[in-house]
Amino acid sequence: MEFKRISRENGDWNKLWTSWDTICSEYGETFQDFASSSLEVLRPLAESPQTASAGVFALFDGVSILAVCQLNVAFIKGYDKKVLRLRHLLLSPKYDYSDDITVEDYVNILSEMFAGTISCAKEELFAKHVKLHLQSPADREFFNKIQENLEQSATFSSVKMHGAWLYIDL
Amino acid sequence: MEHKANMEVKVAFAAAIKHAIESMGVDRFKETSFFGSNEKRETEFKEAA
Repeated sequence: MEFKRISRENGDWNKLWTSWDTICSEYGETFQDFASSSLEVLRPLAESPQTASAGVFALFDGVSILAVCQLNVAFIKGYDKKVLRLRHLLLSPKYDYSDDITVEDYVNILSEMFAGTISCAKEELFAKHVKLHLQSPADREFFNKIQENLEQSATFSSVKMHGAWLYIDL
Repeated sequence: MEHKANMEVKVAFAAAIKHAIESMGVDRFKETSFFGSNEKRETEFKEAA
């Protein structure tokens, strides 16, 4: 699997649009109803000239796009180093509509997405802190469990929940 | 060295995500914002209410 930037410039944004439209059709769904608010946030970022501080990133398995998210990096009040923020993480419609997906499939995709984000902080968007955004009560429950588990490992300097974010210090 | 660090990060996330999904259950996990169809369901729910 490969985690990389997608844009209109490199042609991969259009591939996402057409392939996810096809997947929705295969399950009798319409792509217009699928995550329209998140995709409308990602669209201008992917379709504009690309910058070194933000972008839309996706997880590829060959030509298949398994998931997508927004990443942006900035100096934020209270930090002396840059902060990389992940928002609008979306799985492919296949992982939403298919009945043949296992827990391991979700684990593999999300761990690749989060690990790809950490790699981006080290190699492309350059940040010392990473924040993952929570958009719903179920997100909060999910990231609470993530935090419980990660804070027991020595992988990161610290992992904390605060407001609508999971904070990770690298 | 960098590859080893990346693998360590991936393994840590995988363990944490597996713990999270198994703790909350798959049905509740599928209510997270990672699933695009939830937007439609939320809209329909609000309209019905």
